[in-house]
Amino acid sequence: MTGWLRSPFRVWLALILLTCLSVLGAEKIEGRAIVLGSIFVIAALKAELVIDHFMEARRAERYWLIMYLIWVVAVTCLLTIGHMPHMWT
Amino acid sequence: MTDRDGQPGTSGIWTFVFIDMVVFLFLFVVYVSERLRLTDTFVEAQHHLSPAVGLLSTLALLTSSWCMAEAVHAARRTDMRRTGLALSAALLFGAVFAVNKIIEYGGKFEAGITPVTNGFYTFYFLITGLHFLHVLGGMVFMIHCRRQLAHESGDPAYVTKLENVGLFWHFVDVLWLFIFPMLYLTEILG
Repeated sequence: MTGWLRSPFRVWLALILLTCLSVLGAEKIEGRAIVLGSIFVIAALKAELVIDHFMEARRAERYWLIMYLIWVVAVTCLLTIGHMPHMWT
Repeated sequence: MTDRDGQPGTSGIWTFVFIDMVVFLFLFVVYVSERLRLTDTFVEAQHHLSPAVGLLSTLALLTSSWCMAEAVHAARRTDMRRTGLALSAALLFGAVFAVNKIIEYGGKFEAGITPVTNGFYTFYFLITGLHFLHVLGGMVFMIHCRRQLAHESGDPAYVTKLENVGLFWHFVDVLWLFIFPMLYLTEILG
């Protein structure tokens, strides 16, 4: 998978497909809790792709990659949990 | 200029971007806490946002980010013609995002919706407005790099500058990747 994503074009293609998947999932799939969780996980996956492949964080000091990924995880958890009370109604 | 062999950009830009990320994290924390307090207001207001508009913005910004990545790769190969083309394309898609956002804001103001309409719209205008300022800032830097390109022939300092602009631009993209579902998708669930 990582090898396939070596070209920026393929990364862009994956990002577009994931975006369409999250919009289609939000519109078509029943089951709020799963879909709501999924759209933020997909957002996190896309952010990881941009940080890893477009920003090339792996080529920077190691702690930047770690800090940026911690930020992605923190935002994903915050937004998912923040929408929880509404999710279960 | 590059602080570490092979590191894209300077260590300063990595620090700057991270501080900006933390600022937005705090904004998201306040948004979420207000959403929990005023859930009904937020849910009702979110139904008035168009997911199609948000989707168009996302596609434009992702494509712009890809073009920026291509511009940086081309500059490293000292292929200045391709760098110019990719940078122009990145600017074009950035402009698509900006125009789309201006039209969206125009529609809101026409409908009488302002940042003081309710709690949701305060955050909507604050978060997307701050993000929009980042987009405009990134575009100004890109225009600067595009103009400088005519006098460049692969100078490492220019490549580092382009990498810095690219890192900032990709960060703007990463922010939007969370703003889009947070504002536009959470209330259209099937």
